Amino acid sequence: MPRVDFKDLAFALFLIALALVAFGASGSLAIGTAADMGPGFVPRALAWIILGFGAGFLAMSFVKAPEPVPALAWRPLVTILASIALFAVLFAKLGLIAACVGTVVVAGAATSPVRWLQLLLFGLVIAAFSALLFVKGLGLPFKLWP
Amino acid sequence: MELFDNLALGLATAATWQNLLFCFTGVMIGTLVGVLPGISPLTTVAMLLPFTFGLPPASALIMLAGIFYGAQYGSSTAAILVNVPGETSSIVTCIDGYQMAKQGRAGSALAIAAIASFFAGTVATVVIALLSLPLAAFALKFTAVETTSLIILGLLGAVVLAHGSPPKAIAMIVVGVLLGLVGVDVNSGVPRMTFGIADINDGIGFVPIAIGLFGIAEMIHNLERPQDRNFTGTRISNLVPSRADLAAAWPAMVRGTAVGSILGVLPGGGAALPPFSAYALEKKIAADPSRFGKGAIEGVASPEAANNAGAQTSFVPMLTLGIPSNPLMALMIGALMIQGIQPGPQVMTKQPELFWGVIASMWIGNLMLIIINLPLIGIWVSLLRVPYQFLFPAIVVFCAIGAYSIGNSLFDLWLMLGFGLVGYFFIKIGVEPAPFVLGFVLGPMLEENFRRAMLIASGDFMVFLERPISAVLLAISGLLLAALLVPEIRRKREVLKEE
Repeated sequence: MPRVDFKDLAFALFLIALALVAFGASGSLAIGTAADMGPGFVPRALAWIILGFGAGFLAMSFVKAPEPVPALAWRPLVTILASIALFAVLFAKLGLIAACVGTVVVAGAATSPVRWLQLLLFGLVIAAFSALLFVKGLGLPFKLWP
Repeated sequence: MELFDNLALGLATAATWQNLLFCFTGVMIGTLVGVLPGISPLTTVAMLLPFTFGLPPASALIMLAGIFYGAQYGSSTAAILVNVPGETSSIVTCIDGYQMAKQGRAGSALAIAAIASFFAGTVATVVIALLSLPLAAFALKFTAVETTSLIILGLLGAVVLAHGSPPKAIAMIVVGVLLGLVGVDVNSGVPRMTFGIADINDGIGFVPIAIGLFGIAEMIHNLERPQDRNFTGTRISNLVPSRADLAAAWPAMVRGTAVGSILGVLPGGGAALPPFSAYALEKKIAADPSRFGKGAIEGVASPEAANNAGAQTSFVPMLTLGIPSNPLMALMIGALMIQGIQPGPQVMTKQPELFWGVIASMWIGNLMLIIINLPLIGIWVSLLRVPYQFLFPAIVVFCAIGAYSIGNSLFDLWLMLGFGLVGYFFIKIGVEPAPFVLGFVLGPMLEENFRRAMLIASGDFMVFLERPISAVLLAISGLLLAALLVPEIRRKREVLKEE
């Protein structure tokens, strides 16, 4: 297994994938000529440039001396993203108050130790604050309760 | 003189009760954000952007601007007292400022920082006023050809002057431009790369991207590391600096302001680069460089002046040319476009109250900061004790609410989530998100001008070099790229990155 630089490789793969998606998505667009550009001219040109960069970084990743692979901390990543997803779901179904509480509790699980009761209380505080500020104060059309 | 008329108009706009209130709100929120590490003015502006819809444009910009330079104030407080800069721009202030605090001179350091910032803010306001008129007049002569070259210069400049790997940054700019083009094509009415998703027919939402990339991703990254702060516990008794301190600080203030004003205008500039350069300058010309790092007052006065001046002058390219020099300015452009104002040189002529009002408000904001913040230092200090544990869940909620409220759309929430993940990926692989954001914001403008330029020139690419202004702009871009290869500059950028 050749020693590859992870960062460059990851970036290269990202760029190549993006370029391919762009090619696919813009396949039906007219290219036109330089004097009379169609909608597809610039996007496809950009996709080619990105592909070029991707190839370049791919080559670099084999040539360069590899740096250590960065550590991935699962817990903050999963909890924060989950808390946002939870907000989306709860807000649609149950309104702002529930969404605030749920999000605070789940997000708070990102650090340890997790003090569930404290988080729950804090969630209620945030919910109240948000309701006052955004709905009463700024007049945004959020539904508070299910 | 036209200048005084304009400033008078600006003051009249900025000094209405409503705008004074917004200015005050902005600088207070800014100071708060600056004091608290883990939340940046960029995220805050992104979060508040949706709520500025209903405000008149001048008020919106005044408040958002206040957040930016207010954060510089707050951040230096944290830097001096706790050795934790709220912002990158205050990293340098930590060096001597914290030392001064440990020596019991915290009050002096804080006061000098505030005075330096106010002085710089005042001078910067004048500089902006002086620079804007000729710059905008010049830019009004631009056709699509020159505008294309200018945007290219702006994008490349941002790469060169920022830190991080240049090839990766340039690649990210291109990615940004590509994603910026997603949506219905203005010229042909055809949807491009939308995959049939109706929500992005108007383009991928900028604010959810900004909040996700800068707010959420940063937060996840912050949470990986333990948050510890060592509080000096010094009682800040005397806020009046000694005469010796003032005398030594004065020249440093002036130098810092000069450095900041110049560097702030450049693309990629803003509040972060000037303080480093100002500090380096002070150290180089000091009679006794060994004092630096041990509580030299110049080491506080100069960077503080520089970061405030830089923060304000970085508005110039955005207000006069419509080109953002950093992601926060890109957000300001977003705010303007939300209001239906097309940023560019014509803003000065068509919306003079907006333009001059924002400039005048910067001075008023600085005045508020120095009058109100110094006495309130105690409150800010106690806020420093708030553990991040409480902050970040609240930030997540506010980010979510902000992202949703732009268009009352759940799609924007999912977009923010997605870009939070992407942003975290970028952080892990060592790629800066700022060039992406700049490319994203400028992409549509770049393409439109490019297409128009080609139309004018009947497909002849050489037109960019044939027209003199455009040729000069591209030549400067070329020089900037070449400068990346010069070892001296490479080393400087490495040093910046390390710090």
